[in-house]
Amino acid sequence: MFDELMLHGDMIYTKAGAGKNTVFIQMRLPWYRGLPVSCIERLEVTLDGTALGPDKARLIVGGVPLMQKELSERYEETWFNLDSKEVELTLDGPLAEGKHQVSALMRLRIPYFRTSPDPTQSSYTQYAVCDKIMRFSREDE
Amino acid sequence: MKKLPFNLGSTLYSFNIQYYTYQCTFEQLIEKCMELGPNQGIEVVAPMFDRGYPRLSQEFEHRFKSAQEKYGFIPTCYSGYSDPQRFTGRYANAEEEKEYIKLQIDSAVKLGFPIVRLPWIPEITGDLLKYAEKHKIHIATEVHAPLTIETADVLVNDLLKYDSEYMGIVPDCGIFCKAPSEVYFKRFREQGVEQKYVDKIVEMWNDKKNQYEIADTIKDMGGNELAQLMGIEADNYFGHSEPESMLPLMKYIRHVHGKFFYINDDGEESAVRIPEIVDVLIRGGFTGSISCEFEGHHWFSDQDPLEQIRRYQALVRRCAGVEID
Repeated sequence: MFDELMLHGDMIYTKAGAGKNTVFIQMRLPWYRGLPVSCIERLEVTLDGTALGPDKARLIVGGVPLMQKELSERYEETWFNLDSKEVELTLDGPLAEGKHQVSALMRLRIPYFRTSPDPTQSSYTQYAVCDKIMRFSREDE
Repeated sequence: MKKLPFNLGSTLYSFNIQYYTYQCTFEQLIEKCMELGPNQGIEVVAPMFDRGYPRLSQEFEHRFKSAQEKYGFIPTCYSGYSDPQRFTGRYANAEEEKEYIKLQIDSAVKLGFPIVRLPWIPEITGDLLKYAEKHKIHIATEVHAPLTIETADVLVNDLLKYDSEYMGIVPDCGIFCKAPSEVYFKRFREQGVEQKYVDKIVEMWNDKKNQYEIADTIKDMGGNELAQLMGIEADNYFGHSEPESMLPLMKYIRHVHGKFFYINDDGEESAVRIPEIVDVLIRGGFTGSISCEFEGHHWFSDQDPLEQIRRYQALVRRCAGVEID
């Protein structure tokens, strides 16, 4: 749902104090209502065709970039459907200024369904995918 | 002038796209709904609007009450959830579900809603009912396709067992369909689902086959995932309940989801049996609220939900023999 809006805006940006190889993008929750952050089962970002590992694309919750395992424990933090969140991308080297192809995939567990008696076996999930040309600039540094 | 014996309103879920894409704020959605006429009812999907959900945030309480003061809408139904899968690797236990839902009942009470729509959880229904009775608020569970009133016997048995004015059901009118919607067909045809699969799905829908049977048959015929999805959606959106099935349960029906998919330029809806539904509600003495729920946006985003709801309300008035006001 709303897959094409998952990559929010078209800016890849840096922040003061972040590492030289660290950049950020903004994402939106691809669902019509807010969901606990624990419902994010998978978040993947691909930059110019190279997939970043799950530890290298981390959603920032409450100012802290979280790894997948940490996200899965945050059931009291909500990602509200109108809000964008930052994702911190850790790259192998500095990113060139200009246009880049960004792809994102998010798998969400929809928490209000009970699809199986065994909660570890099966759950109602949604995949959202989004591809976009985004622009990187260091001008904010 | 003859008046409708029940209230007409909207669930803001109908405006999903306009809200998500920042075309309209909460207040602007209310303002739109009030263009439909006086005394419009408003149903709110809580986690869509309140950042504090399942608790009530001060921000939303203020916004809601300010909007109510300004526009004078009638709060009809607070839509809540139990979110049992919010925990990773386990379901919420009964106690956790109860606490989570009680917070939402508290929110609904503070906002002045007479009804909270909640999932039906047999283990805690008795406790929740006591809580609802104490707060004088009605809790009700939606009956939505593929469930029908005829097959919701476990839920209906509980209704009869507790027999309380504070507990009921919300029939989603998508359960009362004569056929899948024209917009559903249009979308899947445009996406390339071949006619032989469409024909098979229609045949199996008419035979009241469930989504698994339909999807398996389509797969066996060589249909791809899209064709299988079309089969699944037939059962999930377009139900086989008889409008008459509401009659014996009318005392438990305070709120109805006026689900529809597309009202065409002639003012007709191809799927939902609206004239019969209105007839049954009137005969059954329904005095609650019909929350118009436009869901055509599931297949096409080009329809204006407000215009669609306007057409729907006009159709309901026509069916009720009431002059357009």
